[in-house]
Amino acid sequence: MNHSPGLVSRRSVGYKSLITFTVLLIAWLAGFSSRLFAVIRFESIIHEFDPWFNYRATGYMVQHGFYKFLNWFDERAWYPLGRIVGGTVYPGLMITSGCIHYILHTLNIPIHIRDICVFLAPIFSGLTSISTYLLTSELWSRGAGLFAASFIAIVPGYISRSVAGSYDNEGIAIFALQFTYFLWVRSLKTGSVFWSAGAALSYFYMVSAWGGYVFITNLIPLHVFVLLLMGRYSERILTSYSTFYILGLLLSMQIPFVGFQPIRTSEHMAALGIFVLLLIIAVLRHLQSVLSRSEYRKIYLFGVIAAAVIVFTGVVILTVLGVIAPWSGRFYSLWDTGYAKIHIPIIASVSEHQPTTWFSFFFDLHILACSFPVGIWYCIKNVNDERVFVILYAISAVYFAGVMVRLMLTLTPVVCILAGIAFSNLFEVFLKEDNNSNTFAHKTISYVEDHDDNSMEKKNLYDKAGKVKFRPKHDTLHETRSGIGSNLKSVIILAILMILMMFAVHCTWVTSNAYSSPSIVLAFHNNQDGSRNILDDFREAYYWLSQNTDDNARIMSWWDYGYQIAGMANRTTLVDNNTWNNSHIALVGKAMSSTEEKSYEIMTSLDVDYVLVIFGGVIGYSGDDINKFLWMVRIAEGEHPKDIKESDYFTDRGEFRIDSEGAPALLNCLMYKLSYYRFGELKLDYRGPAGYDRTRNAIIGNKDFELTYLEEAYTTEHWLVRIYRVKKPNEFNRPSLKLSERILTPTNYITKKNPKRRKGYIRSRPTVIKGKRTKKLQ
Amino acid sequence: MNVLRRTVLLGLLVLAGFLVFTAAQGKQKTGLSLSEKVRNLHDMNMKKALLRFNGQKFREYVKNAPRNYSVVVMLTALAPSRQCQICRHAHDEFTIVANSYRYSPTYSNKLFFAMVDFDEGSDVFQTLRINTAPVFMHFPAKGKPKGPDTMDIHRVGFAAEAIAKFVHERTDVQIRIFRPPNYSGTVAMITLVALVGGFLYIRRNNLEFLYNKQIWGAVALFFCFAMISGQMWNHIRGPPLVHKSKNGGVAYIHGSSQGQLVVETYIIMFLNAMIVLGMVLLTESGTQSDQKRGRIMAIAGLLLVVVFFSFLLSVFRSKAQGYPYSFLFK
Amino acid sequence: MKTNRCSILLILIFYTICLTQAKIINKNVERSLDISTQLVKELTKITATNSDGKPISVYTFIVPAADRKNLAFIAARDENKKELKYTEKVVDGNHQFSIAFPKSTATEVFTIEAVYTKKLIPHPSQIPQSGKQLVRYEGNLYLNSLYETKSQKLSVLLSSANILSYTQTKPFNVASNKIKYGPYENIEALSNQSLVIHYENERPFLTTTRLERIIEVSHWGNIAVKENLYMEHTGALLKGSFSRYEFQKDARSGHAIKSYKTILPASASDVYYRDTNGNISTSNMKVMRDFVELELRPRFPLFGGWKTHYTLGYNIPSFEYLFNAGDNYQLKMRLIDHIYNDMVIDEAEIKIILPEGVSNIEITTPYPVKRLPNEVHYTYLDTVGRPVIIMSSKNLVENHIANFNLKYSFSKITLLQEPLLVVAFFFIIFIIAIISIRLDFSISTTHSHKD
Repeated sequence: MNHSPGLVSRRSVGYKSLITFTVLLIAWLAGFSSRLFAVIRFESIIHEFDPWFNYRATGYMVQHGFYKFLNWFDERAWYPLGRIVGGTVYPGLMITSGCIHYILHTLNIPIHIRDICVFLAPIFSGLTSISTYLLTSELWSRGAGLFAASFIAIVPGYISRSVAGSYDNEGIAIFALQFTYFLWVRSLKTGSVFWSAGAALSYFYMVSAWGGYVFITNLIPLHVFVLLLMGRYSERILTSYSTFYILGLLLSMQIPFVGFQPIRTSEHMAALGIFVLLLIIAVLRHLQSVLSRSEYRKIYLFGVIAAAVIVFTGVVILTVLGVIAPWSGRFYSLWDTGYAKIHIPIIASVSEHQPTTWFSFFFDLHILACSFPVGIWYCIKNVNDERVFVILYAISAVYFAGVMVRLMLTLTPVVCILAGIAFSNLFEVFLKEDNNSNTFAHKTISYVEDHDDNSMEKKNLYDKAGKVKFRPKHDTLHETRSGIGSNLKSVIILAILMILMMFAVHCTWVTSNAYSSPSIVLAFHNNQDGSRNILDDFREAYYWLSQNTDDNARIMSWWDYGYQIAGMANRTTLVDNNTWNNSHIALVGKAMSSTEEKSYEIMTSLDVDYVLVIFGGVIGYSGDDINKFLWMVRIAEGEHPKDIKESDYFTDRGEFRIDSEGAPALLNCLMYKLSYYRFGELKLDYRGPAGYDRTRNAIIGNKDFELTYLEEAYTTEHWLVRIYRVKKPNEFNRPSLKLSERILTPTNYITKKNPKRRKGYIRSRPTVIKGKRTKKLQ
Repeated sequence: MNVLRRTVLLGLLVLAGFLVFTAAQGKQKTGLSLSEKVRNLHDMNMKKALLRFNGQKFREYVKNAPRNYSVVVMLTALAPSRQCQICRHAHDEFTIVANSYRYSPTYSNKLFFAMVDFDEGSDVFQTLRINTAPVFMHFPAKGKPKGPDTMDIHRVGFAAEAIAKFVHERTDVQIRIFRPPNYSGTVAMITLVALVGGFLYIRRNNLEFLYNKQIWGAVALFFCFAMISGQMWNHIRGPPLVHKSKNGGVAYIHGSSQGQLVVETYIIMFLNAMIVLGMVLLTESGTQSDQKRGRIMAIAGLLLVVVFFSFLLSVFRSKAQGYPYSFLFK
Repeated sequence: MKTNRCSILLILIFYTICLTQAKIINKNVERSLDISTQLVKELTKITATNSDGKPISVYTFIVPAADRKNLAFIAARDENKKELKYTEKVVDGNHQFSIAFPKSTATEVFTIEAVYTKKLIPHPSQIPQSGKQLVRYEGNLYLNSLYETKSQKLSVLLSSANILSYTQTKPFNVASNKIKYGPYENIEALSNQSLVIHYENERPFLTTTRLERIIEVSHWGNIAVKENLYMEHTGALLKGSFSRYEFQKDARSGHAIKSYKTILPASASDVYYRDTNGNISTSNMKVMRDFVELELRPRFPLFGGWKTHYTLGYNIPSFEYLFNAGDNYQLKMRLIDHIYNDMVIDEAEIKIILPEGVSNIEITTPYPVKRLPNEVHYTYLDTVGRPVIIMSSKNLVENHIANFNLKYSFSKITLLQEPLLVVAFFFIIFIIAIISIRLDFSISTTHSHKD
């Protein structure tokens, strides 16, 4: 409802707004329902890893209220350090769903917070498509807007982060992003403080929702800068930008996690620089109006040079002085693409930080990928202020998407906008009162219909450049309609609609095959009878933990599973997916990769009660801990080069193998033992040998061994999760540790990071080496 | 007469004795004492950070017993006749390490960097039973080099950082790598700017072309095509140009959805460009004033779009196993 | 023991006082003790006569204080299975259940059924995964009675033939999993002879430590039942580690509880079985003719001392349980329902949520339960909220599965309230939409587009 006033042009209320409304409604419904595969196949459950933390935090906020949440010190994470959650999260997501929950419950609608969290992203996808519509109709025409809305409703590149259950920041951030851009463009066109203030507010929401707000803080100044270069300076720009910048700056600093970064880090300096530059130019303009030509030229030259010098040197000096922090590693790794691999193994270890192949472009965007350049072409051909913006948006986004797979997310909306423009142009050439395609599906009907209206809209929505261009076009259209010939036209239309339908089908296919598995419940199809089996081992293990261990038991596992353990088992973890403390993770990695005795010392020093490992050898699950083991070793080696050496875990020929040729260091390390304890006796099928690992396709090398310091506490039905209890010093025949030995050498706790990263800067989604998508496709 | 003979004899005796003595002297002199060795090495290091040994020197300073310093030796073959390309790179990297150690605060007489060229000390290669180059070996202060004292360049490569890491592992000497700053990029940039500036200066009387939207559009489109066809991936991962499949055939398309080949990306770029061209033609065909032209453009555009899109789809299909849909042809 | 001895003294004194009074004798007593499950089911058939031919008005059956806390259920019936009323009072340490006979004669034949929980003690209390579960029963060989007994027999039913030790008071004989004691002649009143049986009992020792049963009545034809259950394996604790390999190798690892059957009403539909982490995918439902059998598998097998917690819910059509005459309604439903065979419920809380606007509620329960103050529950489109009746009870067994009877009055008009609410809401929405579209709220009439 909230959008209906926005949709309606002041001129004519009526069937146009009705059509617009229906199309947007259909787009919303289509987007919503195509995101429900996971819920229908499995159940309404939170997916993957990060969402579990968000869900837990939301639950905490709903239970204890907002202020308690803001200064929530979570002692269940990062034992023994703990984590100041309130100061290290973007609270937008939790607040959003918390508000929804609150409102519903004041209306006596008792919906469980889980369901709100699960369905938040799909609902927001509808809002995203509406804001995309608004933005596009500001940029080009309402017809193009409807196209863009329909595209972004179902495009996989966006669905990948917003399926029901993936309760993550991106889900709502894209809406905030688009809406901010819409308000910005609107404010730029009108030059009204109202809209730019609105943009600032929406920017504030974006900042509270996602770290990707930096994209906005750099793109909008870039836009302004390019406009200045193009000599398109106007008071409107001055008003809207200065309003937006100041308000946005102040508001964004209200988020605890952001704090003073907007004035302290160089990611945000561009905005400031442009602000200063803009003011200087404004002053010069004013002078021009009062001074005489000759003296103005001097002042002008002087002023411009001075301005440039001042801004530049100022930034440089401040950076050198350390007042402004240099670029953070993750930001830097966008420019120097090899940076992460060398310096931040944790970032490099995350599969989403890999560059993007053309395959994934096409996989996520299909026809849009090859049609959005057309949009760019036309935007450039009849350019104006706001189209400069969308061009810059496209260029920068496409670069970032090329560098990192996960930034495909920022590319998708602009691609939808531009493809919408391209297609609406195309159709409005060939679709003058051709109603021969009513036989097509709903969406295509809407495509067909909205052309009659956008062509009429054009007159009042296009700016001069557009008009000058398009008036004659219309006339020519009228005479050449017979020219192209209706048969040819209909053929062309059919072909294009065909392609669009293929796009819709492709989206559905990709969504259902690649992006709709909760990765907590695994489903595999039985080859013999094609029946669908469900492996629920993760929840089995977590529930066992929650029911049958002491309430404040400490559980050691690799960081991927920290959030899930905290969320589902509600137990204390040592490390989790918020990988802010490299040294702590390295310590766990060291414990996993050293022998039982050594790791027992580490574990007792961290008073670990249980150890949890993921082992896929029985069912052939590729994403288990042995496959991730090398990263543990690398990260451990980064902090403890003396004790752990990656080379020890390879054979002489530099292979990583678990069978009898495997390196002794590997065959005797804790991770190996915990994964394969008593696996050597297990025969998976009658013909096969005992202890045959289906994931690595090898017979394990170290078969019959006993554990001294740990005992098997629980192993799930398919051995996917194995939990071991760390024996207390008095439980085995071994002199118990003296207190002096329990204290770790303090070097382990000194993190080699600057204070910035200690505040949880690296928030990398932990789908490490999961190979989900490839597994689905092969 | 006999006096003379006697004197000569005496002289001979003396001479012989002297000779013997000197010989003895010489023999005794061959094994240098530890302090001398260190001094010599130090002096050599003053001149060059990376010591160049031949077989004799190698035996002298590295093999022979009294040592309180460890040596990291690169055994290589730099002679052009050997045409060992890697050796050249390895040598550069190694020199970087040596230099950055030489001028670092941690510099001491405990560790030296040396290299032996095959053509100067082939005997060294024989004694160490090495028939490949380059090989990085660490000779600890005491005892013989063991297995891990040879750097596994197949795995870690021989980038300066890797070597430094290796050195740090073997001898606890932290070396921060100082690469000689690489100006080529900046130079290129400056020249580019200069050229552009010069060009603008020449054409200053009419800068109309700056406002030529076609050019800007073409540039932007090219950039988009480059990115979408995964040139960035190529830049980072450096895939091969084409695949040689087993049966001698040449594969232009990488089999899996994870990888891609350089040629493949060019093909994709071309396909994308064609589709875009087709759509532009279609759109423009509406604005044409004369009918025939418009019709032709429309048909051409339609063909371009449909055909090349189906091409693209079939390429995609060949990479994504089990992808059900295809257009026109498989 | 001690209590018994001193009580004997007291009773002797008591006798000297009431010698004059007519004297009841247990002519014949047949006790059968079923300890083959986790429960102790005692069925005593008593033939009592009055020495001087007078009719027996009151017979007093006693339960020692030590056993009272284990006594979950007791009932007395005459020959033709008619319930007999009884009143409980405590006299010098023994709980006396005085049974009144409506038409009293000189010789009464009646049975007393008693069910005890937590009376079988695992011994040893900890066993490894592969071990067998052994339990001890301790009790009285003779009937605890105020009266002298002429002859009495006792037959004990065990779960298996594997008996480690048992009291051997002649005459007795043992047939595979049965022990027969007696007959014993002329037992003095209140005489006590300890009976100890140590035997193997692999039956599941599963206890529902807490049951929350929520019955939500809707007048739109549906009754939603939701049960939150907290289960615990109260048998011998698991010693040492759990090995999945062992567990898979021998399918029968006796005392571990892999699954159990819950029986729901025949008309139960859309059953769900979930816990805090979502749906538990390991369960299957068989629809029988007159009931629905649900085989529940917990996420993990339960070993000694392991707990689990889940929620089970289903819908049943209201016409089977809700009857009305005009505006007066009557709800007849089971207070608690079957969870698993020979179940033990430590404590249960039953909530009955009635629709909005019901008045003069009155409830009658088959056995005394604790009434807690009513609450108010808000759900979809509620305005004043729904009354919630809360009852709680302790130590329940299968014999407690019985109907309660809830009367209330409710006027049908209030049914329309909620649909009207929705209609009004949408009406207002549309009005707002229409107005906001038709009117132009912009302050300045200048067109927004000046480029």
